[in-house]
Amino acid sequence: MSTINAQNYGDGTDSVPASAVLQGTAKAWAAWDNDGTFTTRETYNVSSLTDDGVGIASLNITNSFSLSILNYLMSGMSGGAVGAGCHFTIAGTNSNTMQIVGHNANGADTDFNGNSAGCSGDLA
Amino acid sequence: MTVDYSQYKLWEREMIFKDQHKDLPQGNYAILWEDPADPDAPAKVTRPSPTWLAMAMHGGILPPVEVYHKLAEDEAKEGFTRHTQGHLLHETPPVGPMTEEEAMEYLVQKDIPPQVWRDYKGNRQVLKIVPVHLIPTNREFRNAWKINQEAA
Repeated sequence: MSTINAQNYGDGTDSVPASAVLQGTAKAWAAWDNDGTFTTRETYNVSSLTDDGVGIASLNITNSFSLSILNYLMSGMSGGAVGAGCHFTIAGTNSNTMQIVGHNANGADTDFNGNSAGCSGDLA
Repeated sequence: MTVDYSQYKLWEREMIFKDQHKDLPQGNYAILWEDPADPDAPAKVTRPSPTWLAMAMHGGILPPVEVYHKLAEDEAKEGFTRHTQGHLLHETPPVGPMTEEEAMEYLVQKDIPPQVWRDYKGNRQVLKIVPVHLIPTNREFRNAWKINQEAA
């Protein structure tokens, strides 16, 4: 595999520093269903997913992050239901596990199909 | 083409592997476990990522599980802010091919808290590797799930 080394990437008009590409890319992500059989659909840099209970899933990371995941950008989506949302919980200085909690429009933890979550940050 | 994954960083290895291996099957096993530190919590179910499982069974990609233990030790130290031994993930010679059962045992030691698989001294069975078809699909009482001690 060849490596392109450059400090900036551009299209001839605009350019961004290489760090914007390297640090802005999701370093771990997963898509899964947990309404019925808990099933992983696609992942990158995720060794396993844990079904922690109704609406709650944990992503276990293959290549740990440098810092606690709390220091990085986490984003996600729970199902496709109108008003559904999600939030994240991270235990202590954990660089290996991120937990996502899906909830319905009333805020109750709820199982959905079509969940996804990712994290951008520096890998160890 | 045979790839020598060991010359790449761990996260690069998965990118290369995924490029060459598509539509990977779900694993046949799940880890069913309870956290002794939170006895009121329901049983948890951990399933491997199909990509990770395929990498484990391929061999030559994943570091020895002890590398994760070393990083966990560092992380547990007072004042931890940043991993300084992340190079162990990339530079330690990867382990060889595993069977699916061996991969599940590796995953227990990597992704399940040590207080479950190593330190627990109680009488309950708090950890089992089970065929996926034994996990209920009806989630109506999901938050009441416990490991069946009679079947243990």
